[in-house]
This record gives sequence, C-alpha cells and structure tokens, in this order.
Amino acid sequence: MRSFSDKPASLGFGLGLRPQHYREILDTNPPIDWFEVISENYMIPGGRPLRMLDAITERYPVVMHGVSLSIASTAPLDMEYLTDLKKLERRTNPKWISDHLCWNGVHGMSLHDLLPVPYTEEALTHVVSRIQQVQDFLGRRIAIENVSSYITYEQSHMEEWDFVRELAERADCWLVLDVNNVFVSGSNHDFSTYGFINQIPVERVVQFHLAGHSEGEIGLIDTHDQPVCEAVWQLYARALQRFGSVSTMIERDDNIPPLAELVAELNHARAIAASIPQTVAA
Amino acid sequence: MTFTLAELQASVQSAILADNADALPLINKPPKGTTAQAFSVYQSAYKMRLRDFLANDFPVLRTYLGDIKFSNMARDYIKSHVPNQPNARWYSQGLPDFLATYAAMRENPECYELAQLERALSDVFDAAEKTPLTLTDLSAIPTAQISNLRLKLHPAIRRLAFTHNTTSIWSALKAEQEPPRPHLLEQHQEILVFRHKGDARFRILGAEESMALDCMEQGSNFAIVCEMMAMHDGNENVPLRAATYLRGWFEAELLSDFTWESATK
Repeated sequence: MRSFSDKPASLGFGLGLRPQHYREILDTNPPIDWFEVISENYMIPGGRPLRMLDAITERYPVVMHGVSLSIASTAPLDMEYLTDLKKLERRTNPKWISDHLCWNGVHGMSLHDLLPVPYTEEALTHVVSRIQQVQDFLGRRIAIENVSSYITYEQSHMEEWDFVRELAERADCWLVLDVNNVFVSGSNHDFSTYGFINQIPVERVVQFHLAGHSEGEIGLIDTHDQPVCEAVWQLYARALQRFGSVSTMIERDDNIPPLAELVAELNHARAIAASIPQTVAA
Repeated sequence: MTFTLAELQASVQSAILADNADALPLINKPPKGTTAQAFSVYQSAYKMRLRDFLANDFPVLRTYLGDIKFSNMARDYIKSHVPNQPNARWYSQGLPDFLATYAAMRENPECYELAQLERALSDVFDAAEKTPLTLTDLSAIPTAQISNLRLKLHPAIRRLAFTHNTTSIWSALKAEQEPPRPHLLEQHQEILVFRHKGDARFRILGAEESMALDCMEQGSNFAIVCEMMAMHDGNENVPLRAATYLRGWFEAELLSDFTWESATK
C-alpha cells in the first residue's frame, strides 16, 4: 500500500490560466497567488502553450485540473491518457491534480461532458476502486470535484454529499469543493446547500472553486461565463467558516474578461476570507 | 427495474447521441419542469460543445461560411463523428476529410482547402518540440561536405497542394476584408505550413523549391537536390539558387537534423 503526503497547505487565491492572459501575466507578474491549468490543454506534443506553461510554472505555484479522466465510467481506464497526464505532471510539478466526479463516455466514446453518477453502492465501489488505481499510477493522491447536475437518477439511494464523503474516505483522496456547483445543483434539485457543505469532511478539502452560472429554461446552468453571484459569495463565506483557509480560485471559461477584472473578483474573495474568523469545524 | 452502472451509462449515452427519450425512465422528475427538459440540457450541451470545438478550430472557415451554413455543416459533421478521444483538441481533425466528400459543399472545393489550411496551422502550432537548426549549424558544415549533406524537415511542417485561390480567400478573411470570389487556379499551388518563433505560418512555394523539398524529404543528398534543380529549371546558377533555398530553410526554422557522409562510404 502506497503512502501519500499530508494535506497540502493553502496556496491562497488563484485563477484559471487562460491563453488570453499569458502575455500580461508574464509581463506584469500580477498579484495572483497560484494558477489552475486545464490539464488537457497542455497534453499536446509541443509548441507555445507548453512554453508559456513552463514560464508560468517558474513564477507561480500551479495545480492541474482535468476534465477527461472519466473516473466514474465503466469503460476501462484510459492508460494512454493517464500516461500523458503523468508526463505533464512531471513537467509542471503541480501542487495537486484534480478532476471531476463524473463520467465522460463509454464504449470508446467521449462526450466531453461531466455526466453525473447514480449515487448507489455499486457506483461508489466502482469509483473508489478507480481513484485508487489512478492514485497508485500517479504515486499521489488526486482531488475529486463535485459537479453541477441537471438530473438525478431514479435508482440513487444515497444523497450526493454522503456519496462524496464516503468516496473521499474510502478512496483516501482529496476533494475540490466547487461552491458554485453546490449552489447550481442545490437549486436544480432543491436541496440545502448549507446542508451539503456541512456533510463534507473538512480534512479532505484542498481547494474551493468559484464560478458564475446562468439561468436556464428550468434551472441553473453551470456556464462559467459570468462573474460569481452574490448567493455564491454567501455560500463561499459559509464554506470558509466550516473549512477555514483553503486554496480558492475563480474559474472563467467563456466570455473571458481582462485579467484586471478577474483579479478584482479574486480580491473580493480575499476580502470575504479576511472577514471570516479562521476556526475550522471539527 | 434495476440497471447496472454499465447499463445505465450505456443507456444515457445512447439517448444523448440519438437525441431520444429512451433514458427518461432512469431519471427522476425534477422539482421544476419535466424529466425530458432536464435531460435535454445534456442533449443540447453535447451538440453545442462539439460545434464550439469546430468553430474554435476553424474560425476562418466559419467566417467564410457565415453562422448558418457553418452550423448546418457542423450539425452534419457531429452526426457522423462521435468523439472518441478524451482530449477535445483532436475532435475536429477529421473535418477536412469530411468536407472533401460533403455533398452540400461539392460546389465549393475552396472550403475543403480552407479547412486543410486551418488544420495544418493548428497542427504545426502545437507539433512536437525539436530544436531547429540555425545558420550557425550551417556554417559548421565543412564546405567539402555540402554535396553530401542530407537534411531532415522539422516535425512542425505540413505540405499542402491547392487547386483554388484559397490562400487569397484566407488572407482577406484574416484581414477582415471581403474575400475574392473562389476560382480554379491555372496551376496548382504548393503550400508550406510551418512554425516560426512559436507562430504558425504559411507561404506559397515556387515549383523548384517545392521539388527541392520533396527530394530532401525523400532522403536525397544535396548534390542530388542540385542535379534535380538543374533538370527542372536549367543549369544556370544552380549553386546560387540552391544556396539561397538552403539559407532560407535554416532562417525559417524548417530543419531539425542533418548528416553528411562521404560519398565514398
């Protein structure tokens, strides 16, 4: 049995690294504590994106965040993907590697979506086993993120937060708590977002995600194309009360504004964190 | 009825791809709206996301076709191309080949060539790293060995052959100008797509330079390249013509390896 290192310390306040901002980051060294990079964007043979990544990792701590691990899929683990992931990990030396509690496809297909999992004992056993295999392959714990969802399955017999808690403990992995995803799913499925957060084990959470969402026809959609809304800021404050100082970052994937706007939004997160007494719940 | 996880995933995936209601019995009625509306979020997102991948990878083609024609083309591509790679970077790789036989654009072969050009530019942009040879490397080659020189092209190079005025259309669209009307060229154009200082670029090759690059790619030494040039365009100034190309290739970072072996070996 492999042993892994202790929970990493908070990195402070970070942003998702986006190509639109490469030049400004390298020219001005903006006051951003760390960057999260989308792993797949750099799992390429070569060229400028990798050179930019190299230059940024020389100056800032980086974490890797994937969208295609497909940890809950019943398809076999994609060893070619994992080999490329490990190669990128060796290159960037990230503080941690994360991906989503979801599946992307089966039967050799990848739908490029974060499809939700039924909360069943069978799925839990399956995902735990897959996380353990990935952790053994990478030689380190990974972090798993809760997703936004628009459906729930008829056969689920556990709540999402119970599934996430059990998964983290049985697989011995870290968690990324996406505060916006809790808010979106809570609104879509009519559950208590505070109740969700209260059930997540404090010692497992290494990172918070913050993002914006949009109003869909019958609920909220996790679009990452808007500023963080007031209700998500409030939920973030509640998460800080429970989890204490945790690395926080803002995800913006579409309608990407100038870097200064994102830094201002990040400073709002700093201000909220500074106003919360740093006592961590037991 | 209880489904295994594998059965559930197969059923949900199938209903997303086929855009049908077959998976709805697996899904709870949501607090707001219908089960079909909730599931349609995934069905719509699948198509929108793939269309966005295509639009991001082929921005010039999208401008050329306009939103409606591009979306119709994307819809047909998506129907016939289920993504099978975990990395979205590779989803659009098949678009040029798709357009080569796409009935709706049979009368517009320039669209196929535009797609070829955009894909080649993307491919060289993030092609494998290899340190390009420099003029300093060239100066290190003993003069007496130049004729034995064999050169290898850098991995970040693609060659294309166009029958239409596609490069003029591409350049006008990039400059946000009205593109010229498409027309068949009197002679086909050889295009070199390459990476220079991290940027993807292209240029039109003359027939002689194209032939010289072909010879090199086939492993001919420089003496043979010069002989072929003499046969192609005459004996006049062959060494000067060849040296000019050679210098240009080094300056443009087109070469990654060289060897020179004695002809007597």
